[in-house]
Amino acid sequence: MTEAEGAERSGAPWITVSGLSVSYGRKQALRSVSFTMGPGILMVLGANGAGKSTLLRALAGLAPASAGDVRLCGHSSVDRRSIRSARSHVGYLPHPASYPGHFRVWESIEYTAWLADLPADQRSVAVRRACEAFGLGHLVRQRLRSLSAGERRRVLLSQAMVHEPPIMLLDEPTSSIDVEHRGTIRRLLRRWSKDHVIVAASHQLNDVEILADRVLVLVRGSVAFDGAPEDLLERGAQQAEAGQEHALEAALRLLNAEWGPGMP
Amino acid sequence: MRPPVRLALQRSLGKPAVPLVIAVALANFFLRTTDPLHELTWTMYDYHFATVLLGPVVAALACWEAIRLAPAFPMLEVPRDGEHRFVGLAWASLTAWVIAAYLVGLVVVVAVAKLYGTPRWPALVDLVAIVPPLGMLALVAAIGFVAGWRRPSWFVVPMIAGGTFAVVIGAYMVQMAFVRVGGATASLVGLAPRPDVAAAQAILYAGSTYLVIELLSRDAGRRPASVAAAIVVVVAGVFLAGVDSTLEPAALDLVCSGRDPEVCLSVEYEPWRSQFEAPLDRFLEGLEHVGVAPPARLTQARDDLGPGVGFIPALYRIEDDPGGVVTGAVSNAFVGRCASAARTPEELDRVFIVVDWVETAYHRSVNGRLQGPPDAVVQAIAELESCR
Amino acid sequence: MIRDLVLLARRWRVGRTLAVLALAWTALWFLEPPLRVPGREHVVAVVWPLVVALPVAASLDSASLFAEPIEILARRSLLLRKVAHVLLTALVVGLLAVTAPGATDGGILARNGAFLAGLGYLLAVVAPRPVGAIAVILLPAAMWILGSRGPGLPPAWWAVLLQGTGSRSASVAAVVVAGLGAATFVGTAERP
Repeated sequence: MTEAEGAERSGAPWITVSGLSVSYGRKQALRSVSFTMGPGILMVLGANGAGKSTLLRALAGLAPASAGDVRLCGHSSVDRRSIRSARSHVGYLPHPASYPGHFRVWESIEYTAWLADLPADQRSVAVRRACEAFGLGHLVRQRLRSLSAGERRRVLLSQAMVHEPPIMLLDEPTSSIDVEHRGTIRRLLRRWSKDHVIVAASHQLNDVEILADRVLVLVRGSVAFDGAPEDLLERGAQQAEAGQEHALEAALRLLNAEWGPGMP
Repeated sequence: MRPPVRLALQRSLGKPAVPLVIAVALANFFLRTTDPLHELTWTMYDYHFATVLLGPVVAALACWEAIRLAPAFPMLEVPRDGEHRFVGLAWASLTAWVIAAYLVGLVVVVAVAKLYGTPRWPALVDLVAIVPPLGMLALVAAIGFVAGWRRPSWFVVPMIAGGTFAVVIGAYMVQMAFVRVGGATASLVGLAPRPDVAAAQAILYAGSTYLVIELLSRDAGRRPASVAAAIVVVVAGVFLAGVDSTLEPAALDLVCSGRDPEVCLSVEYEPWRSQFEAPLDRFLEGLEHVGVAPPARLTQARDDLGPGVGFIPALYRIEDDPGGVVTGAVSNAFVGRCASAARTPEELDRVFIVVDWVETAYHRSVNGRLQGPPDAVVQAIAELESCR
Repeated sequence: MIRDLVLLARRWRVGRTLAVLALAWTALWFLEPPLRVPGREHVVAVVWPLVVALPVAASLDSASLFAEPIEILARRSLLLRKVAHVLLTALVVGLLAVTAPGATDGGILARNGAFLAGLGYLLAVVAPRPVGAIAVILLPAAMWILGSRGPGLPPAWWAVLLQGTGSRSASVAAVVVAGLGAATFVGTAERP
C-alpha cells in the first residue's frame, strides 16, 4: 500500500498547508495561506504577481517558506529532514520551463522516469503510456528544440506525470496548447483527479469552469476566495449581468478590488 | 528618442553590464602598468589594449543577450524582415552601453593622467584613435549576438568568449594590423597613431559588423548592401595587410636648453629634466676627460635625428634606471640612425661595439676608472658615418 | 544500467565535453611553451596551463541543470548525482593532466583545473547560469594578460594560474577553492 493510498484510506488530506508565507527579499509573495486538499482538482487563480506560481513552488518545496508548514502525504516539504520524501510525491510542471533542446522526446520522458526511480522493466511501458496520453506518439524521435511551443508543453506535462505521482502541481497546464490537445488534456486531468490531487494555476477561465472541483483565488499573496467554482461564479454573476462581462472575470475583478491595495 | 529605441536601451543587458565593462577596462590599464600616465598619447593608446580582454567579455554579453531574447521573438509576431530590425536594435543598444562604458573608463584614465601632471590635452589624432577600438567592440558584440541568436544554448556563451580571446590573441601574436588598436609597452613620445590606419580599421570593423548581422538573412550574399560591405572589407583588409606600424613620427612640443649637448624634452617630460641632466652631465664630463667630445643635441623628437644628435629613449625609466637612459641617449648620438636603421650584420656589429663601450664607460665613470675608447670603438663610430 | 548511464551522459552532454577535451588536448600539442604575452615586450609566459579551462567550462555547463525543478523533485538522490558530476569533472581534468604532452606539466594542469572547477561549481550555485562557465574562461585570460610581469620576473601574486610547479600558495588556493566549490555544490542538494 502506497503512502498516498494510506492517506486516502485514512481520510487524511493529501495536502495540508497551514499559515504558509513566502518572501522574496522585502516582498512578501504569500501571506499566511492555509488550506487542505484531497483527491480532486484545485484551480489557483489570480492576477499576474498574485502568488500562484510561488504557491506551487512552495508546495513542491522549491521556494523556501518564511513561516508556516506544507505537508504532502504527511511529509513536510518545509522541513529539511523530510523534504526529500515530500518532493518524491510531486509531479511539477513549471511555467516558463527550460528544456534540454538536444534531448529527443522519448529520452526526455524516459530520463524523468529514471529520476523517479521507476524500475527499468516498467520504464518503457510508462513512457509509451505518457506519450500516447499526450498525443506524442509520432514525435518520440524529434529533438525538443525542433518542437513547437505547444508540443514542448505536452512533453513537459508527460514528464510531470510519467511516474504517476499522487500530487501534481501544474503551472498553466494548457497554455500554448491547441484546442484539440487542450480537450485531451482536460479529459486526462478529469480522469486522474479521481485518485490524484491536482493543483493547477491557470489564466484560462474555461479550465476553471470545466475542471475545477475547488477554486482558490489569490490577491497579493493572500487567499481572497476558497470554495466551489459555483460559489465564485455566483459572486460574479450579478455584476456580469449589468455589463457584458464573463461571470468569473467579474468575480475576480471584485475580489481584486476587495483585497487590493490597503487590504491585508 | 523614439520609444522603441528607448525601450531597447532600457531593457538591454548592456545597461547592468556598464560597471563590469568599466571595471575590466580600468583593471586592464592600471593592473598592467601605470608608466604611461605622464604621457597622454601613450595613456590613451595603452588604454585601448583593454579590447583584448573586453572583446571576450562583450562577445559573451552579446551572446547572453541573444539567448535571453531568442525565445521571446516568436511571440512578438513581427514580419519576417522584422527579425533584422529586432536583432539590429538589440545589438545596437548593447553596443551603445558598452561604448558609453568604455568612454567613461577612458575619461577616468585621462583624468588620472591630468592629476598625475601631464600638461597636454587630447589632440585630434588621439580622438581619432578611439574609433578603431570602438569598432572592434561593436564587431565582437555582433559576432556574439549572432552566435547566440543562431544557437541559443548557454554552452555557446563561454565558448564564444574563449574563441574571441583566442582569435584576438592569435592576431596580436602574428602582428596583424587590424587587431592592433592600442597597447604600447614603451613610451610613445614623438609618435602618434596613424589616421589612415585608424580609418582603414574603422572601415574594416564597420563593414565586418554589417556582414555579420547580415548573416541572419538567408539571402545575405545576394543583397547589394552586403556585396558593397564585403568589397569595403576586402579593400580595407588588403590595405591593413601592408601596414607594418600603426604609429608614425609626430611633431613634439619641445623645450630645449643647454649647449653641448642641448637637451630637448617634450613638455610632458620637462619636470624630469634635472633627474636626466644630473647623471648625464657627470658622465659627459668623464668622457671629456678621456678625450671624447659630447654630442651636439639629445632630443625626444624622432624626426630631428642626424649626426651628433641622439634620441633619448625611455625617459620615464630615469628613476629606476638612470644609467640605461643616459647611455641609451649617448649611444644613439654616436650611432645616429644606425641604432634602428642598421641593415647589414656588419653595421649591427659596429652598433653593438659602440653601445657596449658606452655602457661600460658609464659604469667605469661611476667608479672613477674611466679610460678612453679603444681604437675599435673609434673606428666603429667612423664607419657608421654612412647611416648617421 | 547501461541505458541509465547513457541517459545521464546525454543529459550532461558528456560527448560534447569529451569533444572539447580532445580540442584542448590537441591545442596542448600545438601550443609549444613558451608563448609570448601580447602587450608585454620581451616577456614570455606559458599559456598551456590555461587550456584546461576549456574542458572544465564544457563540463560545468551542465552543473547548472541541478537547479531545475525536474532534478530537485526526483526520487533518485540529487546528492549522489551531484557527487557523480563533480567526479566526472575531476576525471576530465585528470585525463587531460595525465595524457598531456611531455613538454607540459601535468601537475600544474591538474592544479589549475581544480581551481577553475571549484570556482565554476561555486558560481553554479550562487550566480545565473552562464556566469560560472564564462568566469572559468575569462579568469585565465585576465590572469595571463594582467598577471604576467617583466622579463624574468615572477607573475603577480594573485595570478594563481600562472604560478610555477613549486608554488605552495597556488596549490593551497587550488585545494581551498576546489574544496569550497565542490562542498557548496554538493551541500546544497537538499536545500528547501
